[in-house]
Amino acid sequence: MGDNFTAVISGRGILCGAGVGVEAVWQGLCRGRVDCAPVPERLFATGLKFPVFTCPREPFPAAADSWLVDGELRPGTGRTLALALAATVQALDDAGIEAGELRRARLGIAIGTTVGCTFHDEDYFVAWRDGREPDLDPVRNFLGNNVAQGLHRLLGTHGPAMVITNACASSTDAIGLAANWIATGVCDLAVAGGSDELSRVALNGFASLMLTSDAPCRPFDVDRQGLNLGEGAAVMVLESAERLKRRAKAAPGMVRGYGTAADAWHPTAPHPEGRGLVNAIKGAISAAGLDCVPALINGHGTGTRANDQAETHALAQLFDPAAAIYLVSTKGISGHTLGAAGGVEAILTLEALRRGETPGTVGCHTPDPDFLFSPLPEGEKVGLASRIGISQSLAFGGTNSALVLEAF
Amino acid sequence: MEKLKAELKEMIIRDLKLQGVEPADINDDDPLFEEGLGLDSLDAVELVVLIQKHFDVQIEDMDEGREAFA
Repeated sequence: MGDNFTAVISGRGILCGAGVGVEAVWQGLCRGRVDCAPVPERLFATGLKFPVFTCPREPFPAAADSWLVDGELRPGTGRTLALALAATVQALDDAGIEAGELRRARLGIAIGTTVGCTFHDEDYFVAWRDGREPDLDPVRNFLGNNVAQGLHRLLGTHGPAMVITNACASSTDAIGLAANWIATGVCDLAVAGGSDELSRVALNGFASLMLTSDAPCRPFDVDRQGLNLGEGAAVMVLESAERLKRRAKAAPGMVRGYGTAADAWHPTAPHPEGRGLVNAIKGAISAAGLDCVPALINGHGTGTRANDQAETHALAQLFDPAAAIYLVSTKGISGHTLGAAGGVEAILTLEALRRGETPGTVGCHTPDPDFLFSPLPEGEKVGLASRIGISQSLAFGGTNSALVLEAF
Repeated sequence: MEKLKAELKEMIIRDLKLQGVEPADINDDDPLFEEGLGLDSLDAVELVVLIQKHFDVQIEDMDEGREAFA
């Protein structure tokens, strides 16, 4: 990405356990609203009682049906796709883009996910394993629920489509990729972010690694006991500054830079000193050509022992711990939404930068004294010295990705 | 010991939501996985967590759990 790497963020859509819409989620963050509970029966049956954060039963509101080329949601639309669609139409409304205009544009869609269109139908798996011949509906649903393709089909739009499945960095990568599409003219408009529903496979996977907390998570706290999973979706509309100028629309900010780097260390644990994260942030800052330091870092901050240690270690190598650079995690109000996390956090980062202030980390009462870079704890609220911030994600597989965002 | 076994069988049926299985259907030496009760790796994770909570024991990692079930 060269010096003229620019993608303006003209719209934002979000839903997670903290609420629906940027304003609601921001208010939830400021009030420290923590609304989590064991997985409700309506999602799936499980013997595990770890608290999780959930979205509305029907994530896509019927009031938004006019966006759909068929006038209504097709049967067999999976929950992850419905969540993505709900965030997308919110973002398009926010950007002031209408359906007709959208269908005429070259629209790029880049969505991160971990659950995506994988099989959820365990009955199907069990029957198949037992040598029976189960009905093929789960296979048809699988084929129809590719999140990026599904959005194009439901909205009646055309253009590049990419699903990024890179664990917890997926949607940070999707936003970085789509920003690059805009900067290089691959498309006129882009919808980028992530979406993930709760799934039993993910929940049990995290439980098997002993990474889930019995209580609401406490990112960066000395007594942190692990993460809470959450479901959600978050999407940005990206376009070029020229296009935005032509339609005389104000925008909240822009993607200034993106970087990604691997730890090459361990399948599920971060490098203890955050080796890959340091390189990812350096890459993002270099792409941004930053002339001032960031005022805010929205960390991955899952609340696991290893993540929070690695992340703060990395930041201390890059930034002066005494400078007015505030590190927060917003996962205390949303849980870890996996493939949606980077999108959720990029949107909250931008909102804080736009308002020029950030609340502290919900769930962090006593920052771990071992950290070389201290987080802003719950209950504090500070003004931000610049309009530039970083949103970063650390993923299984050792991927680290970072976005540099600027509010106008 | 008999009480403990009965409690364990009830817990497995109730919390892993096994359909159409009664405690009396489970023999003490039935394998938990595959040919026995037919549990899979997702159930195994839940079982480890359930046993920790229910019997107030600590299973340090899932490898230890795997040995205990073997």
